[in-house]
Amino acid sequence: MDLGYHRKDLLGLEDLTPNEIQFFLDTARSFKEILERPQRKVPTFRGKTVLSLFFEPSTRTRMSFELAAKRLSADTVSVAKATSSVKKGETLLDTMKNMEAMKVDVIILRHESPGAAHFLARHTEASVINAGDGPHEHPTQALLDLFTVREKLGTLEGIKLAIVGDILHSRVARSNLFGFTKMGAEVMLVGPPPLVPKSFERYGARISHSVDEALEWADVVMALRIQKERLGESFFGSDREYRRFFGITKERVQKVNRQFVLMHPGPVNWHVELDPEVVDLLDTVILEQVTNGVAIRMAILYALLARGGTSS
Amino acid sequence: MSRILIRGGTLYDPKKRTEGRYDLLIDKGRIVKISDQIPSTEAPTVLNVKGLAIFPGFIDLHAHFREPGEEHKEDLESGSRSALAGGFVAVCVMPNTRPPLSDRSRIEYIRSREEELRLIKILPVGTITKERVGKELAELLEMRDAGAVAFSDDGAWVADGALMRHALEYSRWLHAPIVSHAEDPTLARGVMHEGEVSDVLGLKGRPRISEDVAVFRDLALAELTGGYLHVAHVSSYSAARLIQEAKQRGVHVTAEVTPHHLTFTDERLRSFDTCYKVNPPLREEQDRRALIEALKEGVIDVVATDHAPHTDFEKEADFLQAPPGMIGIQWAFAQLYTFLVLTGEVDLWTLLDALTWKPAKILGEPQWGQIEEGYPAHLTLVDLQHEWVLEERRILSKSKNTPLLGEKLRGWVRWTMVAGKLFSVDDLLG
Repeated sequence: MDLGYHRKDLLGLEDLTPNEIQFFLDTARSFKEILERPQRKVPTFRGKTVLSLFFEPSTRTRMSFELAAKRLSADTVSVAKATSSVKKGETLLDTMKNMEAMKVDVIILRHESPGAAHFLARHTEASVINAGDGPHEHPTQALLDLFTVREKLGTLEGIKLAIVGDILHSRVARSNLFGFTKMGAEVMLVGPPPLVPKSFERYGARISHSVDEALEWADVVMALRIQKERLGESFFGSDREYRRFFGITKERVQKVNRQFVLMHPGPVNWHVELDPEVVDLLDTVILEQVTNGVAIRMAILYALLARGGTSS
Repeated sequence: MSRILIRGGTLYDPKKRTEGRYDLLIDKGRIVKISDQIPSTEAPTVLNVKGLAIFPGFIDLHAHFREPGEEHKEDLESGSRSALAGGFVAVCVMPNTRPPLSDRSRIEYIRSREEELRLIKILPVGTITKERVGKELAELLEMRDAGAVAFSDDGAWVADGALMRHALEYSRWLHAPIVSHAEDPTLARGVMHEGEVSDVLGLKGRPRISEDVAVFRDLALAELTGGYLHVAHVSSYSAARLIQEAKQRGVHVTAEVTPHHLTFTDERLRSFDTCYKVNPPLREEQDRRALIEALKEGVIDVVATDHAPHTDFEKEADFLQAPPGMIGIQWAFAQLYTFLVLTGEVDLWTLLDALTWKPAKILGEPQWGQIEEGYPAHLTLVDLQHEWVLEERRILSKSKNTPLLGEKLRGWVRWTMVAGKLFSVDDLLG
């Protein structure tokens, strides 16, 4: 396979080129085929070490990365905040330096601070993958979303994507805004006024506060979780009120009476941003997203680990 | 103190807007003679400064020297030496130390260290509230009597309006300004300016309005009480406009701006370099331009450094954890000369006003900041042609938290004279 990605790290989609994104999507397609075989493992990166460093809770991203690394035959080590020396006051830099001293090739970092992965990348020779830096970026999630939509609709060019929910605190929204617009799609950001930054118009986004309008317009609707842990102040009156005015409810979906693809990066707050009944009414790809997550992360690990000179 | 003859330099008097080649005779800490030509027989020591500019000694109304309590970041000695290398003869040290400078004994401590060190004039600023926690008025009279030159809870706004009102009521009588760090904490919960850049970086913002409402209230209280308000580190164009309007109404207010707010914008934060994390935050180009205009028009009176040292291990952290502040007293002049004067955005006179007689006036020291026979010999001698690169090894501060490492700067302070005592910057750098 020809390498279409030559950077040391994957920190965000904001400065990637469409060709680089394309490379990941195409590579992931090959890996997805491998995942569908009975023998799902390739011996490509035997002896390489991938470290996941998760300072924020995560179930699917972490598992998805670990599975991806294992499918490529790399060794995986995993450190979570709750069990690490971070609790004893060790700084991010110290933690990283110690991990590096144990020889790792790729570090996957999730951290509450925007820029944490960029900071780490400046201080280590290892490749760094941003698995979420606070509300800033979550590039691997956006790549798997792009992959899923392309697979579902055959193209990204001209697709209308509405992202609904807490845009302000969402790294998924930011990375998807960058990724989808770069690939020729249109993006609408929808939510309560304090949670939808107007300045995203500069990146080509439409801004709306009407979910009905979004459901009439979109080919793909991505519902986002209300990130209670990030709010810190009062952005809306109650969950009940939020559901009524901004939730993707059964009533609302029945009213628009048209088909669109429904996505959600998980985990879902059922009955707040999304009603469970909606899943039966629509073409949902929520679990498809999870499956594709492994393939896209294999593609990313492949590109970064191959830099080190291992032959495939 | 010995007699020194300073020969061959070009003398700049910003207050009179005059420039010319003069010799200066210094004796017993004062300027005794200014003349076209003073014979070398007049003094046992002759300092030949041909090619150098002679300015009144620079004065900084706002710096953090961290002593007592955080001497690993800076202390009064390292801070004073940095100041000397930057051409500063007098520096106001902010009271957010540990413990804070909030009573007589702590002010006396700073004054006693100043006497022991015999470097620059170290002017302590006392807190407005006891222990700087915003609850009760501190002993302003005791502290003024012990040598505090101003009062500030810098780092925090005095959110309690009645406390601020009483402090301003005292200020007029004490002839000492109340210095406000004007940011309403309920609106400024973030780590950078709120705008397009914070939105895209996912960093929580500190909007202009958090500064503006705080400035507005403080101006209203100054107007009510007739007190003397000094607004620290103005950073928003709209706050500058509020100050301009208040000045037009006759409110007794002065204001300062930092070198970083005059030279950087929030675009720099895209690198996630924590050196750019400061409070109030770096804002947008329209703010930067408005601050420059305000400085030129005299709406903003002075440039103050807000020199804020933090060690590498504190600054080399993720963006949320890193403490706010950057250092800069050692190259404040060079930074402003290079990025504002040489680019034509500000003329040299405006910059000199903001570093010399204007801060002197705020401190109630009319003989500082000017070069006159009989006045104290506070002088800064600068090679305006000299180009240099800011390297870590040249930094005299204990901390290195500046985004300017590796930058090429013009303007090199060669000598700083404090009350007739001459310091060579080359010697300071060793």
